[in-house]
Amino acid sequence: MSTLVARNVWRFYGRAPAVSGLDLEVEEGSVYGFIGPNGAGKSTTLRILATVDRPDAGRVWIRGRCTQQETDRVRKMLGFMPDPFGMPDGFTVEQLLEFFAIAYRLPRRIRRERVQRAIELTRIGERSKQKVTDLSKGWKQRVLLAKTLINDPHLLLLDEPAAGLDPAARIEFRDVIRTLRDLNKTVIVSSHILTELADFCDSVGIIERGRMLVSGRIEDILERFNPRDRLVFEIAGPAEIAARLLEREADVRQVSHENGPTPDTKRLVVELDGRSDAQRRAAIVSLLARNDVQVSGLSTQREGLEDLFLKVAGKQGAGRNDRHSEDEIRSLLGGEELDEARSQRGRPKIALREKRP
Amino acid sequence: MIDSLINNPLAQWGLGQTRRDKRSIVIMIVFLVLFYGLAGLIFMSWMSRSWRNDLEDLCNVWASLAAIVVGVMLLLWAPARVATAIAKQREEGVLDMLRLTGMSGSDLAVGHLLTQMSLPLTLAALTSPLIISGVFSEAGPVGTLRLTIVMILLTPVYCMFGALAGLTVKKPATAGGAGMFAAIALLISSGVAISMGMQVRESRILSFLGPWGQTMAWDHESNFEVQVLGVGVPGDLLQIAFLVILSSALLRGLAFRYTSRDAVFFGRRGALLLLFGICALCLASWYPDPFPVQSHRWRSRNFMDQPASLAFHLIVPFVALLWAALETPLSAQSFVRGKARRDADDAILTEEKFALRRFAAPALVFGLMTVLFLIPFGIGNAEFATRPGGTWEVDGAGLLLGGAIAIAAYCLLSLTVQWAVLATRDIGVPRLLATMAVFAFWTLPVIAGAVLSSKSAPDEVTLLAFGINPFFGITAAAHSGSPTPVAGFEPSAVALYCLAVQSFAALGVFMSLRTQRERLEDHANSLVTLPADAYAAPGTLTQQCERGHLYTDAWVSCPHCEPSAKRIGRTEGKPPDPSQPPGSAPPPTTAAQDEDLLDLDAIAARESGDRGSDAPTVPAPVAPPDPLAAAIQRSSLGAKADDENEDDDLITPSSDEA
Repeated sequence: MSTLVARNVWRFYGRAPAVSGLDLEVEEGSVYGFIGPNGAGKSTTLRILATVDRPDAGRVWIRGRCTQQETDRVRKMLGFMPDPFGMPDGFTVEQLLEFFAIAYRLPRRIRRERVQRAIELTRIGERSKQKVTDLSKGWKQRVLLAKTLINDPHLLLLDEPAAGLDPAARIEFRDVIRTLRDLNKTVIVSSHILTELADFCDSVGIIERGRMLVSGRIEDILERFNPRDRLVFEIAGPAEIAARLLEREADVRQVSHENGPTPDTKRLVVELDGRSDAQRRAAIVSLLARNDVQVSGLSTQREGLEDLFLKVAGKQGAGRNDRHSEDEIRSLLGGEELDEARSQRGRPKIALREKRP
Repeated sequence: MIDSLINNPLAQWGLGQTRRDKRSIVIMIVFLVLFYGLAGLIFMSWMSRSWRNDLEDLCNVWASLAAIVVGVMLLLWAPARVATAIAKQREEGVLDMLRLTGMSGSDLAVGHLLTQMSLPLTLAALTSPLIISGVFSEAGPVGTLRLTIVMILLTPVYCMFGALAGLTVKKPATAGGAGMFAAIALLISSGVAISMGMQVRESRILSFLGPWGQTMAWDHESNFEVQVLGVGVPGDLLQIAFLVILSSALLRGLAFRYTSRDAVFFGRRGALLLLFGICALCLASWYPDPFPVQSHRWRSRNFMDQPASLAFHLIVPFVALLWAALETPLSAQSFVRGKARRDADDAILTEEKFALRRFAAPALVFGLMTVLFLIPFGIGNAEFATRPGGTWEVDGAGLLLGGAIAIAAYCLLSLTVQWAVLATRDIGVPRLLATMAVFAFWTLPVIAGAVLSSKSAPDEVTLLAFGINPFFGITAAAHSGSPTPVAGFEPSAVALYCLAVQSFAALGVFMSLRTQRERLEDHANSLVTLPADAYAAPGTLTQQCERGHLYTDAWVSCPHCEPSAKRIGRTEGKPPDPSQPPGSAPPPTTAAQDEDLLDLDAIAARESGDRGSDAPTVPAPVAPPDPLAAAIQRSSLGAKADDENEDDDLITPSSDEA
């Protein structure tokens, strides 16, 4: 069952669309990662999903309830962690959580229990007596997450929750998200840090300029993207023969030379058209062996979420010559269809005034 | 409302915070030192007097000092605090967090007000010894009590204006300034109303917005007395009623604002409540003449003659009605959004409806007020019927004519504002521009008429210019029974002319508004987000009818032009998919449900058949045809298309979109 369904959501700021015909479906109990560069429309989308902002067109349902028609009911089911966020000052951590528990009109008998549970989940017990304003950003993030959990929401919308956290805090944050998933909470997380999302997200959506470029399970998307494995061979002795042999292979896209770990060894990076299984790798090694090439090592590099994002968003990867030309991206994404979609969707404009409460 | 006061977490937090905050304690100590230091200096000065040591003198000075300090704190500082705090919370996103908790608009409004009013009120309470000294001053215990109560009641009213500033202005500092500016404007206008009240007693209602009446009564208690149905009542009591009505109207307006509803200030209900309140207070200011020329006759005791009094009593609610006109417009955004709802089970929200009642409700209330209150009180009690010892009467027709002019003028303003909002699509300041345009239409001819009159132009020409102004028309209508002609014309004729001008102008705007509506409807129809295929997958809206509507080729003909259009291969009576959210029928056009789309996929699969078994196949009953999946199938075609469209930018929206 889908916890969240968004259909054809549009949001304009002035005449510029921040969100353009966004479709989204998130399964219950899953963690969905929302990826996109700055200004892609992630925060606007999350604000719309959280009922803080209203779409100019399109609809959103959370657990079958329309966010526009049943706003109050929907709000009880969700927790939203905005970015940037402000905190009401003058509270200790515990008082802040207690305050929000009262604001959510939780019955007195379960209020205390909820506060304790949120503190335990987010592991902020040691700071519970400290003033929120005295905490570091990382701790404030945790407190905010605890506040988001206070009403025991079915759906959590976390906007850049790990921004500004140190590595240790990020690892802990990851654990918290996993715990939430185990509790069958549906979590939507937006982030720039793709490696983290890859760790705990079941599905991802890549958004740019308000358009959802691709959405689905990470494996499925990677699979659909015609992923390329890289085989890194360490060759003892000259590598020219090996390179020539490998270039003849049908599924080899490119072969490049690198220096090996020792002066006697060379490294060959072989980029394949697609995935390689154990058999295929064994076949290549045996081919090299038959031609008296000494292979001293072989490792496989698989494309991950970062590569996927770079492909889709057309960005230059740090330390990787993996830039895809626009034509390449078009072919990957199905240029015709997206052009068509864009021409159809781009035609209408609800050029309405930005209206913020 | 009572629940918002008693069980308000925001207020509890705010009050607790004020109590714990060390800064509050420091402020209190500094204030006490300064205030009582000054009071001590006054005392020493009084003691050192050799000529007279009158306790009343000392109490007068002390009480005045306390009144000024309390006035500044409650009526200037508190609104600025409220405005700043709200703007700060908005800026930091705390307000959004609070909204998400499900707290109602009035909860938030009351919470913010109580929180920010608490410190000024506490400081005001600290001045109580000096306030109590007022008991021994000229004002006496009653005057002191009155001023105290009115100050306490005025504080939330002023703070609500501050809250409005906080919800409107983005920067906290600017919002604080705006809040204080609003408070000063209120104080000045209420002071001016006091002096006006010497001529037109009813204008004293406006003086209720300030503490001036009590200040006057401080010295001359009888000055601030209002007659209610013949009984002399201290103005304070009426002021309390007025402030309670105003507070509830303002609170309603604020609650609207907090929930981001479309309302200029009060909201329509608030505006109507205010209209009722003002009318009721107008009525309350009438009373039977204690020395009637003719027995059992009622008349308004002011310095106006009866027609002028009638005109005044019509004009005051008319002004309130003009305010309601600013509340009525439906935003273009909401209108288009409402038109977007094509599904039978997707009800159009009230705020998206372009219904006549939006405009009619205030006018009907005005008419009701005229009939229910003015006629029985005015004509039934011969309020306007007879001039003392006079020979002419104001007939009912004049009264009704005046009311009709007011309603027509209201329609003109509200329709113009609505037209402007739709025409500009809420961009800019349409309400302000429309209001200025209508007031120019009403005022410029009067100026032109005055100029013409000074140039000895014929009376008919002057009157034609003057008659365009509804205030002039209402006044003429009030003189309907008068034997004195207005510029040589029967007053009823002038009123009729004014009514005709307002009505024709309103009709003209209405016709233009219809065109505007149709244009927006066409715009709404042309949006792919709107039609029956709103949930079609990207790239499937391939058909376009002559009117420009877009739809999938799942339809035999355009479903927008022909609501009964049928879908190709659609199975009738198919049970709804329980996994779909309610209200989503027709659900997203998935491949499973839309056979045409299945065909498209099949075609796509066939096209990409040259890739052989390596080409991934698209499982039929899965999610909407995804551009990515299809792209993989026909990557060769895509590459070919790329060559042909090299200049196309895939990711970046085209410039015409932006």
